[in-house]
Amino acid sequence: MIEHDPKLNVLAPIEIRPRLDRLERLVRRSGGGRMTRAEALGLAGLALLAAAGCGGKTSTGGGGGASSSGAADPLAGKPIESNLVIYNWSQYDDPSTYKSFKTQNHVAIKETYYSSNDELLAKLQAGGTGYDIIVPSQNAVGELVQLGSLMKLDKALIPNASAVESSWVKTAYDPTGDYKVVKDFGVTMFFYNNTIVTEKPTTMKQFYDLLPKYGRVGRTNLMDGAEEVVPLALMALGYDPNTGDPAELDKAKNFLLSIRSGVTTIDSSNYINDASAGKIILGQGWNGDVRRIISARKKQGDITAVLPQDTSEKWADNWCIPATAPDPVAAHAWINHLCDPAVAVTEMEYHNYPIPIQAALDQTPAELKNDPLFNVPTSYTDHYKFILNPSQEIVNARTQIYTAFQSA
Amino acid sequence: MPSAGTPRRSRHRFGKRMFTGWAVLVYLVLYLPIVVVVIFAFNQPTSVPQGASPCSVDPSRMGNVTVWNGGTTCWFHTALNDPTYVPAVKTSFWIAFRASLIATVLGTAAALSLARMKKRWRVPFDVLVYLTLVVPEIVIAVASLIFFVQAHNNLSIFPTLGESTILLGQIVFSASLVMLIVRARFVGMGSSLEEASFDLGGGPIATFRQVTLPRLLPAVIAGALLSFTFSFDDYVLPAFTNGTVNTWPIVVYSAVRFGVTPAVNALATVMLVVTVTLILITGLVLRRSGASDLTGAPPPTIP
Amino acid sequence: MTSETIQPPKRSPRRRSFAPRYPGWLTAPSLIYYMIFFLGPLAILVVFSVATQAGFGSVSYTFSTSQFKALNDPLYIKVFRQTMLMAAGGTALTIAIGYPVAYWMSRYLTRYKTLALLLVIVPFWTSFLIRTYALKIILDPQGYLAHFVEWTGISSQFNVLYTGKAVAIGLAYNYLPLLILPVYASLERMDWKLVEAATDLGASPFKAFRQITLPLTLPGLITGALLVFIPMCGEYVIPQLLGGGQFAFVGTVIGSNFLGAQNWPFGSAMAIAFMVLLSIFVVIYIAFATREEQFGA
Repeated sequence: MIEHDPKLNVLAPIEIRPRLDRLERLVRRSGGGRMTRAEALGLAGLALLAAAGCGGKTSTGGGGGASSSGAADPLAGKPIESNLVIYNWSQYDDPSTYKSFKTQNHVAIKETYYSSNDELLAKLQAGGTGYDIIVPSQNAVGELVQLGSLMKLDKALIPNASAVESSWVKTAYDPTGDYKVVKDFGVTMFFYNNTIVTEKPTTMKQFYDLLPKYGRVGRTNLMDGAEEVVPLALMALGYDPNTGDPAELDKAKNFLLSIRSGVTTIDSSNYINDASAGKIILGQGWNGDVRRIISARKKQGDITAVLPQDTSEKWADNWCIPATAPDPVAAHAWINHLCDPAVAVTEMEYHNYPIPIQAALDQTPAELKNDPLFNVPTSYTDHYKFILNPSQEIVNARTQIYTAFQSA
Repeated sequence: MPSAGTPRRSRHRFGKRMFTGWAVLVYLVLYLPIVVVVIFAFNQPTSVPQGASPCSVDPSRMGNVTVWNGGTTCWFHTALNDPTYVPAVKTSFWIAFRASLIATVLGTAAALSLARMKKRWRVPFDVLVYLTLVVPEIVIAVASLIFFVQAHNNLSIFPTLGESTILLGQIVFSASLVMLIVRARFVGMGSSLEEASFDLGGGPIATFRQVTLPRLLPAVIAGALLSFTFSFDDYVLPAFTNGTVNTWPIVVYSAVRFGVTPAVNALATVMLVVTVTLILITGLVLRRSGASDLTGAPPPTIP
Repeated sequence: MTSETIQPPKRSPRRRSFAPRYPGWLTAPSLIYYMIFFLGPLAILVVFSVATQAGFGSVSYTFSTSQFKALNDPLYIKVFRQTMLMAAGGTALTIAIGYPVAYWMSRYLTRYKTLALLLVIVPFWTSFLIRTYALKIILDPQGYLAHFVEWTGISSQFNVLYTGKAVAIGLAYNYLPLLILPVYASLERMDWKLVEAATDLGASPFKAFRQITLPLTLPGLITGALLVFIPMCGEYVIPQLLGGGQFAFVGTVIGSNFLGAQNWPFGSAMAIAFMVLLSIFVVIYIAFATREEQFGA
């Protein structure tokens, strides 16, 4: 698959293959009798790389269209494979989900784990992964669609997906709705210790403005990563989070540097425990995590959670199938299984993030479905925006601002 | 003062006490986090529903397990029955074992001939060895990923991503580690013994076995241990070159987003108990059999 | 040991050169190995570093020094400087803690040397991440250690976690074996009789250490220091976990450019600049070691 898709071949586009072969022969010949087989291969390997490097070929990233989008229904009627390789965060899905899938479809599941979207992207871009199911966030989906790395989903094989709420089918990062099924979603919000922070901030901007004051009093926390810090600041200033306007990015940078002294930690994974122990007095967080913090602080009751009034980030993790998936039918069956309302209910009870299937949401326990921190009302999410990676330049600019912010 | 034996002895004893004291302190500090790891293997979730096992609580409802919430032993059962934990540890162990073995052979062999090689050959090689250490791991990890994918696509003798690519990538750093440590011992060790052996007609193999290896053994062992440790505990390189293989660090790191459960601590505790037991048994056996210390170190010269 | 001391100096005319050698081809396996599995990926990096970006994670192969020019920015110079300082601090701490332990093992232990060595390593057979979590629990400003320190009056406020101190402690903790083992290996060839002779002749223990032990173990110490210092500079997990993400190490910044932004050319250029910078230390060491080796032979 990869070999025939020059777009994915970062180093050695298929067109220069004959040249590489000639080089290899050349190396072998010039090595003559004095060369061992291993040496010849080693040198040939180097030569290959050098040749690939000097190829002068541009492997363009732009332009959409997955490579599988040829025939109308290429998977129709194909039997289900006996294997399924899932590349996922660990502990993101209920063990019972795997069991029921295995018994229903007689498919052996192999699951490999990763710890950041970046790893996933790097692997897919290098090619040769062998995964059937991946779970990228919205910005990664947008990028992978652009790169043509995702398989166009065959909706006929995922009948249960028709129950997904329409607003989550065609999304800003997948305008045709062909490449993903939303796994679950959430928003970025903030919380504060109400015995210390006496103002009642309701917007992200107010949150940021309080940082310099309370950074001296106790621990404050921002979510980490260039793709969080910079777009969130842009939104607080009233700009589009995905803007590429240098003037707006510059304003965000100056704004971030002006509040830097009030930020104690920049961290997205350990703040749950620290906040649960009452150590963070003012911090950002994802709604599912903030729910956990609130329930851990129930006794003290000192944490107030705030869904920002005007705007903030909404995000989604998605089920996708790489264009190179070896077991596409089983992958479709997996997504279909996860969209089964009964399965979706157990999943939500397990990971505590909402799945946009109304029939399933209705069946979740009252403590979940009535909690605005779980089932965030659409009155908020309608104004919230996805953070995307619109272009390489914008991502580079964000990264530079983030480095400046971190090292300040 | 120098003529009498007593002040020297008392000074030696004083020095010994000082250093022993420091060493004990350092070992305590080294093991303090390990003790914490073990203690928290017995921790409970913040709140456990009535009648439920503490270990049946979903990670998303576990609350804060970095503070003590009360004891349970069920994590050991959970960890040992987890479908991914034990296989991942086994995978990591075998990769690390093979990596350290190959790296030790490669590194020691190179160190042997390098130690007394002519400068114009040695220096470029030295530079190469140091370059392997100087490259930030995250960058070489992604480059290795691209390299392995392309190498396999173009030359079918290269393996697909998996255990073997993790192994092949880790040996680079490990071999350098062994080479440097062995050479650090070699430098200035003096060659009179080897010279004598060669002059008496001993070939390189006999000389190596009977003369050089015994003297290099502490360094070889140190290098092998370090490269095993590096491979076993390495996250970055395997995270990119693993294909569909889970190693132990990959399993642990990926749990961070939704909370590392005490089951991870429990399995680490089991590993710790197993290794310490093995070490003690080996020590006892060696002692019974009257074998001298593994390192073949000379007896102290202090009377 | 004893045979070495009674060995008469051989001055055989049949000597092939100044010293007998193990055959040069012994370097061949590792050389070939490096050629393929190290220089291969490295070549990719070099090619990337002079290329330009053509979209996410893809590269247009040209020859351009623009990536290196972009590095010449006060921001990145500051990051390099901060990293060097932190890593130097971490290395110094590691030496201060580790050297005496290696010295103790080598000089004062007889039977239990291997056991002592293994005990240094065993903690690292658990898992880096949970070890570091445990360090966080220990360094917690409301933890037992904090209460103890405040109780003893050493410090009225134990505030270490998420500061540079915690990063330095984490670095020293995790890199300790990489220092102790090489130093131990080089101390093992020490002839303590030399030290005894010196002190018998009236030298203070400190002077004996400075003039005999230290010079003789310097190759091991420097190997250890480099083994510790170099990866410390490229570290990006410890600063994140123990520094609360507010320390931009070179490793962190390379990570966020190379991985986060998928800017492979710029990430590669930064990595190569970093390698060149660190190579300066290495070259100094190699020059030094070369001299030393001629001395010792």
